[in-house]
Amino acid sequence: MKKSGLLIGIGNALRSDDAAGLEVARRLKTILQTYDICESDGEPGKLMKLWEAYDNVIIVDAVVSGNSHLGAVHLWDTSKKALPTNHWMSSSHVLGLSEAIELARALGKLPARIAVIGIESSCFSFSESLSPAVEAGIEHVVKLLISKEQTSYA
Amino acid sequence: MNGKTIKVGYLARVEGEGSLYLKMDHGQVSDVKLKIFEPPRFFEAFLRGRGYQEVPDITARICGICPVAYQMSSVQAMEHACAITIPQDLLTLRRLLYCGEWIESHTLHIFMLHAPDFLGLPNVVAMAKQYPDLVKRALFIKKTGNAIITLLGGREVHPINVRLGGFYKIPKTETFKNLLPDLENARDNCLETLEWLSTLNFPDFERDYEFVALRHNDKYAMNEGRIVSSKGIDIDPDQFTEIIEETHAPYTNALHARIRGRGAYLCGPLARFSLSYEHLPNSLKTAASRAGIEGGTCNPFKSILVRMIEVIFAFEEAIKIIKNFTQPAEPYVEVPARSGIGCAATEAPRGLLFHRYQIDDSGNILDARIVPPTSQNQLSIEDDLRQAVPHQMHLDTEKLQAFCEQTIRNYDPCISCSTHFLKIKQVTNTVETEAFDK
Repeated sequence: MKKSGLLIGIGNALRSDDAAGLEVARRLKTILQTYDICESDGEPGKLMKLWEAYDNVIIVDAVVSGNSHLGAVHLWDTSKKALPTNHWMSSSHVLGLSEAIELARALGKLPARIAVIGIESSCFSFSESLSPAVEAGIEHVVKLLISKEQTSYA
Repeated sequence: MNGKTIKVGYLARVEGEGSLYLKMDHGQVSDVKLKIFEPPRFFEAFLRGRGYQEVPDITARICGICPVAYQMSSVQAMEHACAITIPQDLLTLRRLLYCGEWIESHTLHIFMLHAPDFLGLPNVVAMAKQYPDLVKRALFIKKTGNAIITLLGGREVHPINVRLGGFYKIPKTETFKNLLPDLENARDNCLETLEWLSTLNFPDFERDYEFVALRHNDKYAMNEGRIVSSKGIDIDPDQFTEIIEETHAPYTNALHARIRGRGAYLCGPLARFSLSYEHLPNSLKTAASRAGIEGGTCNPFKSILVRMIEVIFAFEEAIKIIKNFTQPAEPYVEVPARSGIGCAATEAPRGLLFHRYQIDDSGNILDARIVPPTSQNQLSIEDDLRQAVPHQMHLDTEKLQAFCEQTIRNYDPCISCSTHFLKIKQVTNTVETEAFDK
């Protein structure tokens, strides 16, 4: 049965800290009662498809702001305001999360409420291991979201 | 760090990170270097010692945009080494899978990367604000191509259903037929889009390329045929290295390919279109004529039109294959190992993709060689810049930079960063253009 909200963990499990968003999604999969949980590689078309049936979406992803300590947790309400463009990595053929959100906004395909949680990361080499500080950031986000849900229903 | 770092592993062999150095003196390009500084990834080296059955899954990881191409060239080269002939119905299904990749890869480039250049817009987000219906259409077309790969390949990126001899499993007939309404709808969308694309403003620029592509006797070549050129080459894929040589230039990590004794050549959509034009259906020849590229074009900026025609062709072909589909007797034929050398070339969206393997009696890979299309086109990209830029010196620095980027993006190289690729500085009597994507 569809839940009222959707949490999307974004990342690549083979690229060290880039798995941070995926890891949050995996740890919350059987815990959150009001959010469906899914994982994504962040491709804009797929993101739009994932969230099209939801008005309330949370995205978790690794970020590199360069001005926060490793494992720091960032929170952006992107319902009406664009994400910073330089916190996400881009490659030759892949749009970053900020571009994906703005593309959806331009096409009228953005959920009414959409928040992005970023976990400050630094290592994106080939590995399935997370940096200890990023691991701590993941755990912080997990507790934060559990607490938020419990508070909402207290 | 400003965040311009590769996030996911969708990098081709070396085509991830690149830059351009272009120097003008007195109205002429005195130096141009397309630099690919993505470190070598040593796929050829670590294929050695692996089992011959592993090639489709290992080589698919070379590129997240065209993994099917790597799978097709690798399995066909290995089947060649093992002297196995694949039944036509399984070859046809491989062609269907390739159709899906051409659709999704070309659509990504046409709309997300190339079209903004012609509209004077910085990226697809800006394009979506002015042309939302066009971008929605693009997403639908791309999704339809992805659906073919998901169904037959097992998943959208890095498919897992391809094996030596065929496929692990063939989906049920009705699941193929279920794709037809979207495929037909998307094809019609593409025909409308081609008309719009043909109204774009194309620089008046042509070159005397030597086109190199596969050509087949009775169909538009994808994964079967001989390697031919517009200037007389006509060889089997296993003669590729007799005709093409690769050399290392100190400023780039990708090898430069050239025709022995002649030099640069061009592979990719323009080459295929010109060399296989006769095999397009009449409806597409008519569409090409209306778009002003009947019979072929030597204007690289019009590659966006050719890609669109190839997308329509891929839809037509996919629809035809699915309508005629009957379940093969077996999903694959056995490919027993035997000592030998095998070569194959197939048409990746960006152009000819050559693989060569040597294996022993047990199927252990002794040697591997992979020549991707972007490395084959590097010299041609530089020649385009050398010849096109002098005609654009009236442009201000910002527009000259955009023109250089557009000239590179004509090739859909994996090094093209979709938004900001170049940094440019103006010095007295000289324009130096240096491109970075980080």
